[in-house]
Amino acid sequence: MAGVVGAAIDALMLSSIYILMSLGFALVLSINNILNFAHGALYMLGGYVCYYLAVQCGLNQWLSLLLAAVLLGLLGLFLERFCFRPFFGDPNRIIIMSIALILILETTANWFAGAGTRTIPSFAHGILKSGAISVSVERMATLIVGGVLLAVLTLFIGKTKTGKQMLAVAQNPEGAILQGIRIRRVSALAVAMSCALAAVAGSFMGALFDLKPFMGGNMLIKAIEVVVLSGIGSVGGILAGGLIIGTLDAVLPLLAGGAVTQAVGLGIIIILLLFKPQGLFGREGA
Amino acid sequence: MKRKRVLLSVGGLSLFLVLLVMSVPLVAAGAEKTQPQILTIGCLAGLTGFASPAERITAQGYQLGADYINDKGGITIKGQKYLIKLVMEDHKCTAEGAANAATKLLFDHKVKFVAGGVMPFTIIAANSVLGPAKVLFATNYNCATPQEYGPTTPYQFVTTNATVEGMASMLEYVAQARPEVKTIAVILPEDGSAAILFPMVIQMAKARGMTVSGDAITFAMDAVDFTPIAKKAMGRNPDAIFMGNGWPSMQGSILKTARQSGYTKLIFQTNYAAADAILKVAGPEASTNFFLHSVTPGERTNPPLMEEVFRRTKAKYGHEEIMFTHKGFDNIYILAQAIEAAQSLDPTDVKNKWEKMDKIVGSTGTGRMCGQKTYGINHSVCLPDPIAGLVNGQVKHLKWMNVIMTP
Repeated sequence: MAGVVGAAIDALMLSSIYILMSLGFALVLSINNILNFAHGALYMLGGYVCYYLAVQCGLNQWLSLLLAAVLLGLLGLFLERFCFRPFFGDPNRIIIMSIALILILETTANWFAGAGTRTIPSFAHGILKSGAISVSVERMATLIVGGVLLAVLTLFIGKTKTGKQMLAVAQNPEGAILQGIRIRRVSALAVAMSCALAAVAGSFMGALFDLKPFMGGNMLIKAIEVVVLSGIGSVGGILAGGLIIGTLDAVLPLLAGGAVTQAVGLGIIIILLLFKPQGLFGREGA
Repeated sequence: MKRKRVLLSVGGLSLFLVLLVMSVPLVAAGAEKTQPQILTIGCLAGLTGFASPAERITAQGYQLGADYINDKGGITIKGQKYLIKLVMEDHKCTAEGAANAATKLLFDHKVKFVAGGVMPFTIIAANSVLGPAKVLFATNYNCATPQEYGPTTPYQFVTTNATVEGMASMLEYVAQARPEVKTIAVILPEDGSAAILFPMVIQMAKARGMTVSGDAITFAMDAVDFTPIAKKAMGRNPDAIFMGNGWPSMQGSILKTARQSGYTKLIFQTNYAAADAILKVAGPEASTNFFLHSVTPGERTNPPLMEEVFRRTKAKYGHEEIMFTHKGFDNIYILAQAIEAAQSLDPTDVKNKWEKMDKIVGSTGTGRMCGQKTYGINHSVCLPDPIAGLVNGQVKHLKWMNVIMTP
């Protein structure tokens, strides 16, 4: 029983990180029609920014997390304006741009902070114990903050005017323009939110594990797995996809060797795409 | 008579002039020998890629080794001084990156000696280029896979204690310090070595009165979360958890998760990682009842050379993750000893001399060549091993293990 509860919490915690990452990736993909391969590198950068604020500047970890999200959000505005907007409608150039961003961000991080071990101090300390069940407060905090953030984001997209504008742009950009929606503003907001979400995910992972300049690659693959599994254009789908991939990654290593889990996640996606090319919750033709 | 004297004078003068002319190149050569020449050694390091945080620290150690030798005047071969110049190539922590880096060292830099290399797939890939060219390859580690190191790699040496040496000395220490440990769960990375190492662990543990619980628990080198790995090991309820190879980020994560999940028994690792790096990843709360191979700065029993490496690491790079810099330092320092002992820059001469050397000095003390039975080749340098512990969030030196000769 204790093992099952522990595995469930681990699965939820990992899923919440995957969902935060995937939601940012999916926002930019569905609203801006950009496959932002630099999303993993932005996740890494967010972690390092939080580290420098918390460890080098001595700020409180939570404040550092908030500032890292804000700073990465501002970086997102810059990227949208100067790196993506000039190439809207030209997917090849945007892909090259995002790959260039990966190289620039990873090389810069490697140059300045690549040698040695760096971790963000834990966001919460202690262990919650109930009988045979032990759960770290840090993991619970990650899970709760991730969950709250997702709920806020879902409400924002579903209930606010700006959120609805984002959905409109994602569904039909031409129609959105005809309705008077300022599509550039919505695009910029989407990239900023995406970067801020990546920073939150990177900061949590940097505290739970450690920071590495090349840590974004694996997480980018996870985000792509979740988005493809879910289908493009569905927030609910991202939640479900993140839960599935997170649970597989948290539970499968208990049953089999480590490398098998990586293959199984991708195997599931390949099989799914054969039968349901639009993903589990995606729209036909999306 | 007078004529004879004149002839003698002319002859003497001629002889003097001839000797003078002949001595010019000799004097010049002597002067040349006083001018040090440069010996270029290639170096393979993961400057980018998943293991680069630790590999870059190791690369600093390579440079510290070269600096130390050069500060002492270099090495002398047949009266000629040589200063060491390292040419570092990034293997990107991938096999293809290692093959490319080795190719560059061989064909662009035309080196005869290559140092570095830690992970088995990088060493195997580099060897596919360096081996056929008979370049002497002094690796910094090995994981005991036959493709990586053995009779098929006659020009390869391992300059410091590696997986097998680490497992032997750590299990010996655990048997001495914690005789109550009778069962262990074994965690190994999936880097191609788990199938080779696991039977060795079973055998070594059995020889020390321990049994291994279940099969090897393996993890992918690019895993994101190590929580399930720690929980799988805990699920077997062993007296202790044994971690074979892996980087501090992996082992620190496993330690942290195990402690956060309520596992309070002994956890130990058998490869060589900086104690403070693991402490950083696991955090002070989780860093207790943990044994590892790591040097401890300032410990009174440390050899002077180790303290020198520590001092130089702090002075040049400003950090204290010295286990990796020590490994890197020894890699270059020991290779240079072998070259100097051979009194030759020919890799074959150096190989022939090195495998017969009965004493070789590293920063942890004096070692010997070993490994004939285990690897099929006696090209491993076995050195004294430092055992440290993480106790209540502090790094503590526990014991120096004398050289355990790998058969």
